[in-house]
Amino acid sequence: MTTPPAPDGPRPAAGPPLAGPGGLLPAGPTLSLASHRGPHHAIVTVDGAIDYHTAPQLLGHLSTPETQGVPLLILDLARVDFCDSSALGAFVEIQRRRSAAGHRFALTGVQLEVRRILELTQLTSVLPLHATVEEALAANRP
Amino acid sequence: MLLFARGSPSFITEVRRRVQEVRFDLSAFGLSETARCGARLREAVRTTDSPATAAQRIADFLYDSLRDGHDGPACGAVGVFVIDAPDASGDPTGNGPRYALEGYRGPHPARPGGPAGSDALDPPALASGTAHETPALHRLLERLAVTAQDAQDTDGSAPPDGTGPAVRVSDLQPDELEDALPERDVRRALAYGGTLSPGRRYAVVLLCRVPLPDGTAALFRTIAGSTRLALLSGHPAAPAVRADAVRALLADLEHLTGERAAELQTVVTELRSAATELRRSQRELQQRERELSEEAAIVELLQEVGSGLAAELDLDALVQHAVDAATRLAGAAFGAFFYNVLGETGESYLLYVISGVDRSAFDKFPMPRNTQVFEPTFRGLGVVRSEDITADPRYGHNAPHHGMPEGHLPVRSYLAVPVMARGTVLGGFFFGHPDPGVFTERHERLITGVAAQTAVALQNAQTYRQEREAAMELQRHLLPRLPRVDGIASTSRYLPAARDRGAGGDWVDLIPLADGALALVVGDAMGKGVRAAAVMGQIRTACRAYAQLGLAPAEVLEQLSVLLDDIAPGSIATCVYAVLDTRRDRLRLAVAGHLPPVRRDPGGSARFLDERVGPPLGVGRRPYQEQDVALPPGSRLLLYTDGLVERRGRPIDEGLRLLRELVAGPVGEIEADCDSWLNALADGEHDDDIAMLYLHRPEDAAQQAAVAREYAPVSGAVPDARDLVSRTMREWGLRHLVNDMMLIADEMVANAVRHARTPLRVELRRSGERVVLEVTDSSTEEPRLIVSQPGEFGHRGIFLVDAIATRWGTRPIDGGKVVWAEVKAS
Repeated sequence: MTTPPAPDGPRPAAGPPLAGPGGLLPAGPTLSLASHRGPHHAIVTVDGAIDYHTAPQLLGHLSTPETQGVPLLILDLARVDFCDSSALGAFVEIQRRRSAAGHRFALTGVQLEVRRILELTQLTSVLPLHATVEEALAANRP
Repeated sequence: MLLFARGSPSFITEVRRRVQEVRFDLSAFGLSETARCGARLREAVRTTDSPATAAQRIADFLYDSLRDGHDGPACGAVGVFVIDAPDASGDPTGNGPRYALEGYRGPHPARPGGPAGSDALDPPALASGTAHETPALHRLLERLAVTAQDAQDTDGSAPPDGTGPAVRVSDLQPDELEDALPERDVRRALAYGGTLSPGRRYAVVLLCRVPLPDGTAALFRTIAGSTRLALLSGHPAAPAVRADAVRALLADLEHLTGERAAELQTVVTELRSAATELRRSQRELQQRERELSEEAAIVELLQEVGSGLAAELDLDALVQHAVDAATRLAGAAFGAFFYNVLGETGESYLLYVISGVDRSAFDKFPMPRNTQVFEPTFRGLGVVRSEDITADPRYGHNAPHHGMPEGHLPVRSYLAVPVMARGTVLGGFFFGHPDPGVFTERHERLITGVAAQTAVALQNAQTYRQEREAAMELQRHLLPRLPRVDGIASTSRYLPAARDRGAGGDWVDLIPLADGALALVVGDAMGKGVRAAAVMGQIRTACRAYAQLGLAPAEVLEQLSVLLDDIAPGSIATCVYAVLDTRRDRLRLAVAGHLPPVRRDPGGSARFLDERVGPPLGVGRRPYQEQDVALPPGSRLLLYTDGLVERRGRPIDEGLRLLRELVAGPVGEIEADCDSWLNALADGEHDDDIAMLYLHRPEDAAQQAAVAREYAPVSGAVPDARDLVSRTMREWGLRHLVNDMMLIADEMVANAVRHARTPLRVELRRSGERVVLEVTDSSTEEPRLIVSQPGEFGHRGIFLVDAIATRWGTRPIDGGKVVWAEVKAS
């Protein structure tokens, strides 16, 4: 690839280092994931942006045997301000795995911007959405 | 024909005449003739009172009623002899028995009782006499052995008990009656005879003029019996003798009838079996004929399909064409063709096309896997044809669906044929029909043929694509990326002809000049291929040199024309050379036989700069004239080659009119403008190369801004690019577009990281209320818009970009591609 000519617009004053030849990008942001176990359920609270970079972290966290075996999994997105198509793919994958195993799944606290993307992709009809964790628990009472 | 009133005397007479006038064709004597002839014979002698009269009547009857094929007499002469056997004491005369000619018909009157040859001038054909008196007659009758007491049958004409009459048919020998022959055409003798009554025998000789069919002798056995009865009727024979004669006749008749019936039976059986054989042969013939015409039809269909496929070089069109043709030939309710394509990084993708039903009928299902049903096709192990796939032992074994997934179109009849080339599976045809037993061996053969041709066509398309890509690669190297110039937004396009392999001679150039001015060039060296490309390269280089010397547009063209004459005599090229002076807001240009540039002024009206167009380059030193027009900020300028406006079936004036309308219409980001104009004018159907150079002088340079950053293809580039976009948009005061632009940047960068896997560059540009994000990578594979079903994983990225961006698109560049998306405020 030929090196593109320098852009004529101003460069941002600050920012992470560029990835030059041989350079390394910082590892990038990670999600904060907190799990709370109940008798028949698990609540995983996510903090951060779920995207192409962090979706594998989320999927890995939810793939532990304890989390997979719990009858009801609630993913609380109240502190998630950004989701991209990779996040949606992850939600669909979790939903598919859990229903195949006969377990339930719920998403709670979906923010406006995330809901817009769910609606654009028509996933609101596929993924079980609840306003709060309490509502999700009430709806899935054993 | 005469007509008679029924009951009238003449009618009765006629009937009697017909009954009496009995005629039998001796040359075609059959069983029915035998029976009727015998009966008539007996009838003819019924009223006689003496043996001699009876014998004469018999001779008359035979002579008159036996005819040849033309109703002439069949016999030259007929003689009826009665022979008295010698006494037991011996032969008194020593000459053996004497033959008494009792009845005679022939050419010469007979003299019953008189010796033969007594009238040398008029010898009778047959006469009475002893062996000594009539030696020729005796030789004949002895040879024929019809008078011997124990005449034994040798040709099947004797009755079972061996005592009945003997009948012989023979050609006459030279010494038998040779001199006495009544007519030269008498060549055969039919003789019969036997016991008349104890001590007496009879013999009848017919000298025949007609050939006698085989079996005549056997038929005459009953005539012989009738003759005996007839002779006895004029004879004072004892009733016992008559009874014996009748019994003998009946036995002969029965025997003959039985024999004939058996023969008939055999013939009938033979005819039947022959008919059966014939029918079988006919069936076989028809079957073979059907097979042959089937064969011919198959060959014809395959040739038709094959020539259609061979002509198709575009892969997408090819596979659709193939599956359409194959589905039609298979008589399937629907068909699919799955095929492998190789991605940029060597991974292979399985794609498919559908025929017969809407693609949406399959979109909701995952790609098929190597189940027991599919494996033979995907691994190229052979054809799978099933009358009813749901009853096939291979069906329903594989998780998760164990058969067809829910909601799948019903399939009973199933046919799948792999498409192979040199042992590699290129793809597979799959056909389904809701009824069982639809696909026959013929379908299988047809589709196998189509598969073979598809394989060849796929390879052709592959080769074509490679060549075309090589040509484009060459073109890209000849057309390096144009530099960016402060205060000017510019972009260019080069598209090779849609259906042509060779690189063309089109070029554009943008050359910053020493005094801050800018030279703009578009040109077209006539011809195709490497030669045109080489000429173009030389003109372009020379043009750059003249531009750097600061020559005026008219001078540049004049020099180029001389140069072209020099480097490629006989070659022609067209060219526009323009110099933009941004300080004076003026554009000076000269045109050498090229289509005029279009200028859009800040008010939005567009016009062609078509005054003072000079001759093309390559016709010697010619003076060119210049135009000097205004090009203030807010103006746009498009230079292009004729491929943009020329299209088969559309006059070039119509193309130019459309172009001016487009340039005068709503415009926006320059990349988006270029793409939408290309779509509107060429739509991938351009017959010639297209080159474009498009400039925009922004009205307010302060509203113009851009940031760019380069990334390695790692996932961390995604949040970083999002962060860059978010901060920049806020700096630009475009907070209301932050969320949209962040999502677009996220998806486009993630897509580049995921698929291109090459270093990438993100650039965000602002022009007033319009923001464009460009992601450049080094892969030429373009992203495709795929609509995911809600339950499906993946493919939502580009869909989201499509849903959110005002416009988006891609363009190939030297060594890669640019994916861009525009978002507009308001």
